[in-house]
Parts: sequence; structure tokens; C-alpha cells
Amino acid sequence: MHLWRVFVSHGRIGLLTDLQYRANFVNQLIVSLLSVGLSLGSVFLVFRHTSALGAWTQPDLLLLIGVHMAVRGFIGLFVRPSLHAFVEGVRTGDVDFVLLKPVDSQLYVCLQRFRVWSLFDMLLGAGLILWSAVGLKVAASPGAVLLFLAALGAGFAVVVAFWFILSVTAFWFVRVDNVFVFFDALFDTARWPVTIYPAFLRIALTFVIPVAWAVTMPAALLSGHMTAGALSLAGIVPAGFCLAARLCWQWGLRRYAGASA
Amino acid sequence: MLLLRFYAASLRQDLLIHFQYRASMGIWLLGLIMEPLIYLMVWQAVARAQGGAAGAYTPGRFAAYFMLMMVVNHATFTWVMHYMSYRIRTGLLAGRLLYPLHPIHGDASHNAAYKVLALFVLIPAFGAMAAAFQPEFHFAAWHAPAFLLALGLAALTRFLLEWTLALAGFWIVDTGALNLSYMTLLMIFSGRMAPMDLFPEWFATAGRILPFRWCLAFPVEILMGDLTPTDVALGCLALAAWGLAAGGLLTVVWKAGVRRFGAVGS
Repeated sequence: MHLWRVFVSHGRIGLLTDLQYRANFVNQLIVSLLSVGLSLGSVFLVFRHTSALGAWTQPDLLLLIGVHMAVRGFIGLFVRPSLHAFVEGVRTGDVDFVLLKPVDSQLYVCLQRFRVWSLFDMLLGAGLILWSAVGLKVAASPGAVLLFLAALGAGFAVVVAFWFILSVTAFWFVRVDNVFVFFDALFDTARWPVTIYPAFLRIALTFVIPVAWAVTMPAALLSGHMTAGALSLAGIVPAGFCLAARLCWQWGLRRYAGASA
Repeated sequence: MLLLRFYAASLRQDLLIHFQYRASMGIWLLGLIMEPLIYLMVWQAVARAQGGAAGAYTPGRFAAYFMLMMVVNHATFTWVMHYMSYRIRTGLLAGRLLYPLHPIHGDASHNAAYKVLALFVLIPAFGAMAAAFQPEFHFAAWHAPAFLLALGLAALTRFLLEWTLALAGFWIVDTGALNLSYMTLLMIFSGRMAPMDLFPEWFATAGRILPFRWCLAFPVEILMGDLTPTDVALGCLALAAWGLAAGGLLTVVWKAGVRRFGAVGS
């Protein structure tokens, strides 16, 4: 309850900060629309030349793009800004102040900054998911919807955990801003179902850099491309990543000496 | 003469600067490699789903196309629009204006030095992709000089165009949306998403008028063996025309921009 109030007030501060720059509203809206437009354009182009990519049809791919947008928005909303501030804090010593606060430091680090414009991406993504789900006629069963939301939640968790593990390397290497570029480059692979990639890449995207869980899995679930085996892994792998993130945090903290200490 | 000496000294210095940040450079290059790699795999999947070819492209032809596209995009890309507005906003540009030399030369040398160093990553990446995806090339001896000429013109034209666009920072504080609009146009009309003949006809026509296709897809098509010598000559003319136009525009916009420049922070 206490934790919740801390994060709500951080969210409010983020909102107030972003609302100071109102002209940015138009800018960010253009950025979101362009990126979704480009993704949709590439799907339409591909489906001018084929009727299916593996088992995936055009409506399935639109759903996938929706999930990709939603996850991207989720990352931009607080994961990226918070962890950026954290990495910077390791260098400047500002993490000292986080450790002194009477809240769980790992959660605090992940939720300390909010960029509300990313809600555009999330809303566009949600709209696309809804629109294609109605087209696919899957929305009829409440069980399927619940399962999809659970998979989406697991996907969000895996993305936060992975970003977190990347940023914790700051305790060792200090200047790690570039690992975020690394993630962005790989996250683009998730705009297509991982099943079309060669085996080595598919495995890497599932177990090493887990973007497959965040995007392909929820979309596969809703469009009915999910196998039972993958479904059971869908609970285990995200949980494993979250646990690994926790352990990395405790391990890394032991390395942290503060800036003035 | 002075300019030559400047470039010799500046290139040497820029090589050393980039070399200090070789790990970051590797990570930045990953983005440049992943994009063509993803489209390569997507289009190969399409070709296979269609029983071996999409349009005139077999999986091997797609591999060749996107591997060459990676090289051409690398050779021609610039990042000037990401730091020009920062330079203008903070007043950093003021110091550069005191040099007895146009600031574009420093940027050109910085860009060229990066490209040379990046070859150490790009060549192995090209080799690995060749091993993994079996590209199918149709080379002829005259392609090599034609390609080099086109590539040089393309790099120059794209550099001038993007440097001019970056000058928007004199008038707009946040150029993010403008830059992304340009990138989107570049992405769809340059052939980076797919070879131009897989697009609808009206789209390809628009592509022939805009400069993007000439800067990227055109050099690739030369090495793919798809063009006749006449096509190549016409393409080089189109590039030269766009290069001249961009250069002229740059001169005008630069003059107007510097007059507006408030040298904040100096």
C-alpha cells in the first residue's frame, strides 16, 4: 500500500513534468503514428507477395504489431527512463539516495521515472490488438482473453527483468548507456513472429534475449498458434528471468561503493 | 591545398577518437546489421512460402540484395541530424564558427573515419551472412567501377541532404519528429524494406523521383546485375542532380540559419 503510494506520486510527477512541454504532444503523436505506420506498411508489403508466413496470416501479424507497440510503450513509459536514471546514478553516486529510502530498492529503481507520452504507443498498440482480435473472432471466449492478458503480463515482466539485468552491469562497467541501443536493435526482431527465423536465432530470442516471450507468445496465444509445451514454458521462463534479476541486483549491490565513499 | 591538409590531419585524429570507443561502436553497428538481417530473413521466409521465389527473387537473391544493402547503407548513413540541434541549442556551434573553415568538413571527416574503422566489424558480418544465407551474386567486371562511382555519389548526396535537414535545428528546438519523418520516407522509398520491384507500380514511380532510391537501392542494383550500362549512367546523373540541388539548398539554408543563430551559452 505504502509502495503503491510512492509509485503513484512518481507517476504524477512524471505527468506534471511532461505536461510542461505541451508542444511535445504533437511531436510524440507524430513519432508514434509514424512508427506504427511503418510497421503496418511492411506487413502489407510482405502480404502482397504471400498469403502466410509460416502459420501466420496477415490479421495475425497485425495483432503481433499491436503487441509489439504495446510492449514498446510499456518500456518507454517507465522501464527505459527509470533504468536510464539508475545507470546515470551509479556513475554519479545518486544511487546512495535510493538505498537510503525505506522502500524496496530494486522496485524503486525500476519505477522512479515516468514518461507519459509513451502512453500513445500503448494506446495505439491496444487499439490494434482490439481491432485485429475482433477481426480474428477470438474475443468471444473470456478464457482466451484472460490467458492473453496473463501472457502479456508475463511478457512485460520478462522485459523489465531483462532490461534490469542489462542495467545492473553498470555496477561493473559504469558506462553502459549503450546496452539500451543493443536492446533496441534486437527488439526490432520481435516485429515478426520468431518462428520465421533460423533455429539459432529463434533459440537466442527465446532463452537468451527473451523478446519472444514479450511479443510473439501473447500474439500466438490470441491467434491460436500456441503449442501446449510452449504454454507451460511461458510461466517458467519469465519467472526465471525475474529471479535472475533479483539475484543480479543483490550481487551487484555488493560491488557498489557509492561515489563519495 | 589547405583543405587537403585539413582532411589528412582531421581523419587521423578522428580515427583515434573513434578507436577509443570501439565497444560502443560495435553495439551501434549492431543496429545497422540487424535491420537488413531481419528483412533478409523475412523475405526469405516469403520466398519459401511461395514455393521458391517472390517476384524475381529467390532466397539466394534476397540474401545478396540485403547484404549489399547493408554495405551501401553503412557507406552512406550519417548521424549529423542527431547532434546538430544539440550543437545549436547549447551554443557549441559558436566555437566552430570561429574556424576559418566550414564546419561541414569536420563532420565529413568524422563520418569517413568511422566508416573505415567500422569495416572491421562489417566485413566479418558480411562473411558470416554469406556463410549462413547462401547469397546468389551475378557479377560482371564493369559492375565494380560503376558501383564505386555510384556509391561515392550516393554517399555525398545523402551527406549533403541530411546535413541540410539537420540545419532545421536553427528554427525548431526539438527536431525529433522531423528527423523521424525523414527516416520514415527514407525507409520506405530507399529499398531498405524490400527491393523496389516488389512495391506497387505507383510507389516505385514515386521512388524514381525522390532521391532516396538513388542513394541506396541504386548502387545495390548495380552489383545485383539488374541494370544495363544506360540505366547506370542515368542513375549517376540523377544522383549528381540531387547532389547539386542539396548542395545549393545547403548553402542557402546555412546562410539564413547562421544569421538566426543566437550563440546561446557563449
